[in-house]
Amino acid sequence: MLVVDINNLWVQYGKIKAVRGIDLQIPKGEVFGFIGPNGAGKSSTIKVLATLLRNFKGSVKVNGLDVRRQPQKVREQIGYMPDFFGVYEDLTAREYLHFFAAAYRIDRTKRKAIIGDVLELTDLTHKIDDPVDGLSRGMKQRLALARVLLHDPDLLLLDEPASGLDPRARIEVRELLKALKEMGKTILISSHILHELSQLCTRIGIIEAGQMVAEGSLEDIFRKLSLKRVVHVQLAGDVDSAVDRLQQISAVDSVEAQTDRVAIKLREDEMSIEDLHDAIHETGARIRMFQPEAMDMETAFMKLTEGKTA
Amino acid sequence: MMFFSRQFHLPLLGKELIEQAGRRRTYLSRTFYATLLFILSIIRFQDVLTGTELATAQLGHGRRLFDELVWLQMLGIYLFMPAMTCGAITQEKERDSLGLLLITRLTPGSILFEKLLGRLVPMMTFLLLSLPLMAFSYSLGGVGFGQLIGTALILMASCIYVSTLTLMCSAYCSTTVSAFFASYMVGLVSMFPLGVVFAISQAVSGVTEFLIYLAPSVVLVFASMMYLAIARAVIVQRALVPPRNVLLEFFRGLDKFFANLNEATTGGIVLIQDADKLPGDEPIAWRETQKKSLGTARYLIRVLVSIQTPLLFVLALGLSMTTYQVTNLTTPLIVIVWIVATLLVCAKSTSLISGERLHQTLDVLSTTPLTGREIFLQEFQGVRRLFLVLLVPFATLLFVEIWWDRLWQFHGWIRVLSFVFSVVIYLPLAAWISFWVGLKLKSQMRAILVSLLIVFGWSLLPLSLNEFLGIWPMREVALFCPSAFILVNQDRAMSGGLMLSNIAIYAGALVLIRSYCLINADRMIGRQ
Repeated sequence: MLVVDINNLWVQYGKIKAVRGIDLQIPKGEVFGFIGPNGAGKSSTIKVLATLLRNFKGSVKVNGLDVRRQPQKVREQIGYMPDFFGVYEDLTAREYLHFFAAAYRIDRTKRKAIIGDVLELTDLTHKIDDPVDGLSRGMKQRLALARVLLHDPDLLLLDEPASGLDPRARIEVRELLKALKEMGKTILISSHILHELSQLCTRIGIIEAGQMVAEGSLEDIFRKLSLKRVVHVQLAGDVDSAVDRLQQISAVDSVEAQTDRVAIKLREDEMSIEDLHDAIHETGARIRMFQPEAMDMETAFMKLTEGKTA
Repeated sequence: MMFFSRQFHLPLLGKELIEQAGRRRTYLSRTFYATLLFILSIIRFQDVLTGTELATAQLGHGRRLFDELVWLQMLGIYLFMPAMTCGAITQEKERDSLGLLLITRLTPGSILFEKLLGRLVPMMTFLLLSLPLMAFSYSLGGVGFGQLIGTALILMASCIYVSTLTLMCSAYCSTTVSAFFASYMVGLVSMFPLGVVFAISQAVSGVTEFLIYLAPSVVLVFASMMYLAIARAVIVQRALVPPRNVLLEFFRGLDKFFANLNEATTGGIVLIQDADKLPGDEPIAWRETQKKSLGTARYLIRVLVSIQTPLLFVLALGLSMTTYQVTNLTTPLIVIVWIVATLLVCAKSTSLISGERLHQTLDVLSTTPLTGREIFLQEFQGVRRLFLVLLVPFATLLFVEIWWDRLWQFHGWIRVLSFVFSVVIYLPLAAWISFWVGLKLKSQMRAILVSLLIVFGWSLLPLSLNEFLGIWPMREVALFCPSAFILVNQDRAMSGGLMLSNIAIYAGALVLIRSYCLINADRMIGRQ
């Protein structure tokens, strides 16, 4: 069953088209990472799902409920955490959670137990009577996560949950998100801290200038990008003639002689890296260094995006 | 001016002028000011301008036209210039950019000077707009050349005086709102010594027409230099002061005072304890009435005591001395209570939604299952409590009038009803207007300023215009001006028809604005 079902979503602010025809389907229990540069349209997409944007085109459904037609019902299904932490500075953590428990119309008799549970999950039980304003940034983020869990929503919409956190707080939030993943929550999480998502997400979508440029599991995306993997090679002897010979290899897309090395662009679907090593050796060239370019999230991101904004 | 700016390296002035040129409101305000000025002049001097009189009969009428134009310009300078200038330095503080400016090669003096020039330019353009009318009045005769030059001088000096005074407040205060109020307060207080100095300077300057204008101008310029020197002295010290919640500090001060007083008199007996319970089913209403400074019972009692104590003291003193009509005593008190009540209600109502925006809590609140209507009505719970408290001083004044004037014996029930209706309709109306402005404008400070401008403009502008134009009877002005209605009622000129018409108009406006906000609540907070 699809928890999120977005078809041809368009969001426009005045003349600026923030989102241009995005399609996105997230099944139950999946952790979907939304990656993109600032201004790419991540927050706009999340805001549409959170029923916070009126002006959009396309079909957006949460648990089969139309966001445009049934926003009240959708609100009961989602937990939204914005990229900033809104503070009621006059409340304690207990009052803050009771405030939102009342706003989510949780039965009075159940509130205390639920709040105890979410505080335990977020490891904030000892801070229950501290003023919210006095908590550290990391604790505030954990409190915000506790808040979104109060009404046990099916879908968590987390917009940049780790932005502005120090490394320790970031790890704490990441561990908390892993726990939520294990609890079977469906999570849509946006971030531009790429390795943070790679450890957490079952699927990612890379968005740029309002368009999805890649979508799939991490392996899928790496495979797609690996089609033209760059391999750096240092050769002994006459490099110029070696370059000519390398260009004759069928799976080699291009060869570029650099100051101290040769960069070979390989069509990896036609030849594996190991076979390329052998092929180079067979041309008579003597290999001093052989280094395939590492494929990680940052490379994928840089390869797929051009730094454009909507 | 841009050429001047480039030649003399005035980057801040250049930036100010470019910003002003890029804002639509610069042109809108100029057009509005010019339209108002010319329409008022046409209405006021219809007889002269339309030439219904013989040309020779119009000669010498220029003086009247000229004097009233100068009066209008003066009013414009003293009313609008502080509002235009109060954000000059505080906006830099609010954007955290004043510190950055101070570490550049710009000296504090040059920052102030360039800011001053940047704010003087728009006001000067406003003054230039009246030049054709001035020329016309000069051509009609009755205005001497010395008077013309002298008036231009005093208008310019007034501009500089008001802008430097406001700049000083802006350099001292941490927020635009506090600078706004401080500018008008200091301006009002400085009127008295300035008036004395004017009188002395005119007495010693003799009777030469030009000198009569020159002397006050010199005084104004001297005072301006003094204000600039103070601004220069405080701008660095006060560059990084954090914003203060003056209202909260005031209440804390009152709290301390009353706690000490209670300790000294009763040994610390507390009759009403603030409820420390958790929210029930209306979380926003709970926060508004249990956690906000103008919502909790304890603070509201403080507000009541702060208003009621001086009111009762003045009433007791006045009633023991007065031999005239009681309205001579109560009318000014009613006006003061109205001003205080309107300020409190407007400030509170405006900050309901804009406060949520400021604390970045509106989005989170909007994703809860609470409907927009529920959010608005719960937000208003604190304002409702404030209303109830503010009813007490109004009721006190009404009771004094009824008791002293024996209104029940003189069929004064229309007056009593008008009084009651004005309070129960105007205050909620002011609250909903302010609330609506708070919804529309993103910045809380701008929202408070705009709502005060609308409410006080609506209350005072028709009254002032009518005073100036003198074309309608007060009873007719009362139909579209709340303050005129209150004054007509105090003058015992209220009739049943006027009361009913007024109730219909303002209760209608109240219902309309309230319904509009509640029906469009979800859209107005930006959600589905």
